Amino acid sequence: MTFPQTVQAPPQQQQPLWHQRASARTGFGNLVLVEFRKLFGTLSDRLTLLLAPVMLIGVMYLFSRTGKMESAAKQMFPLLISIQFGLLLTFVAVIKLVAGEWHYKSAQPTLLMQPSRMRYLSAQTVVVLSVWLVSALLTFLIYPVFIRMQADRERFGFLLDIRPGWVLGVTLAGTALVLISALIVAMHLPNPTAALVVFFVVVPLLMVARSAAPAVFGVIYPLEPAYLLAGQPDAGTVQAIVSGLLWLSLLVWGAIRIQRRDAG
Amino acid sequence: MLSAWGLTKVYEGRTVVDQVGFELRPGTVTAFLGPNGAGKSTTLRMISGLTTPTAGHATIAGRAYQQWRNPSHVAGVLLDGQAVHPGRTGRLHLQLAAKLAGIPSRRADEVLAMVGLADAAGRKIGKYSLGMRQRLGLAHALLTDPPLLILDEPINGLDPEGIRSVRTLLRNYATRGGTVLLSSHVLSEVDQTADRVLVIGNGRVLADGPLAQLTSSARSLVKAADMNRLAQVMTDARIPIQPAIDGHMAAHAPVERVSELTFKAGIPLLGLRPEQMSLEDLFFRLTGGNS
Repeated sequence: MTFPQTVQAPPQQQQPLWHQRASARTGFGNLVLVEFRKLFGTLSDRLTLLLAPVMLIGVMYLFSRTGKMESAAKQMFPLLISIQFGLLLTFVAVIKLVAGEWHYKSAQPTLLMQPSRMRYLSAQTVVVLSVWLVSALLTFLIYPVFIRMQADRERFGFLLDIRPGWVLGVTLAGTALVLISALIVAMHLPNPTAALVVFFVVVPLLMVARSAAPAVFGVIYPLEPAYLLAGQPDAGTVQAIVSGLLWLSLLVWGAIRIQRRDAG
Repeated sequence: MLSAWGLTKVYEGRTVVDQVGFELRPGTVTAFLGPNGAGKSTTLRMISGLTTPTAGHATIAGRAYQQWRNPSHVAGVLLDGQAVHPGRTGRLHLQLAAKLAGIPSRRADEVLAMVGLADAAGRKIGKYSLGMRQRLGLAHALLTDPPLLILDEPINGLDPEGIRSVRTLLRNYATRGGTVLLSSHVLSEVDQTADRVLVIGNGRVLADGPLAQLTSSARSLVKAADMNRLAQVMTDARIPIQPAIDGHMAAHAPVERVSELTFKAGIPLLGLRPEQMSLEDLFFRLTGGNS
């Protein structure tokens, strides 16, 4: 009895081209690029983003002129106010990107092409992270220049160059927290107009309430951890921790809501 | 190509889709027919993974839509032509979709030309008419040239020329081996497009079959030079008769029986054919006329 030396495997059936393409996931980089193009997708988006740095620089200049210069913490205070008002157009862009997709139901064609909502949300997060880094870098580079000018004018020493790491930390934390609060509002309210109104009413109101009663309203004020890090005398550790946990919970809840939201 | 088993959706205790099941073969156009609120869109949304079924499941080429890594290459889906950002141009809308599908951006212009939107490619979608948005949705579905199209009311808002071009496009697509599932509540729209009709009412499939089979009736339409004598022959044979369109008489008997009787009676006929129910009649018969 003889055995064949090799056993030939049955020829593999060639899958049609559509099957091969449907089995290969589009790279995450493509998703991020798409979200970036959406960020700049309309003329109003482009104008908003073009004017955003101009506004940030203008507002930083204005608030730096009114700031007190006696201590490093006081020299940092205008930064905390500036980022809340100066990043206004950046908030508009972020809110339009996230809430607009659900409002116009344009999330539907996106999810039909790319059904994983976690990947979709992650791609949007990368875009928001990029916006944050650019905003923080611009703030970090320009703000000390204005404060140095003001300190010179007021005949005080410029104290922010002693601890640049601290200035960078406060800048990163402050811009991150205020952008996250805009993102959270956009995640919970799938209507850009409503989200913008809520954001521009709630955040300034919280700022006023916090300045009146920091121990009470600090717990719900999104920038409380940045205030603490900036060494503001009325900022409390407990308030900062509670505020951080509260806004983190709102962020997670927003992500869960997007996972479950009806896509039109 | 597409299989659905027992698809059921319950919203707040109300069953909007109830045990819907069917299978689609390649190279066919199937119409999902029913009035507004019958459950058509919910069924299509469950098939395309946008809505989670309460029970049952659907697969496309063996897998659920959302289980494919790049599902737009399996099925092109148009659920809502209005689900587009009005500030973007038609071209940008499709270029973004092409990027997500992993195909070259130039494909956007090709499909825009296919649906007759080449001239409006650079215009904001907010300035598109309802019909133009519908055609843009169709272009989005055709972007990857998938083997299956799932289209919810694709003809809605189109002008007569647009309707004809979509019909031609879908028929050609099926001729090339593609599978089409389209929904409509406009009954006259599907009879020239679909090979098969699934009638849905109150969330349930009421009828499923080839159009000619579903619309065939037990009556014959007959016309003779002497209609009085014809009526007498039918009455003598105890066949109920009724006046019908274009001077015909509707006889409640198959054409073979009518032909036999009139031949024996020596009545020259001017016309004899089986009566076809209109889709409206079919639908109202199936739903008891209350949907």
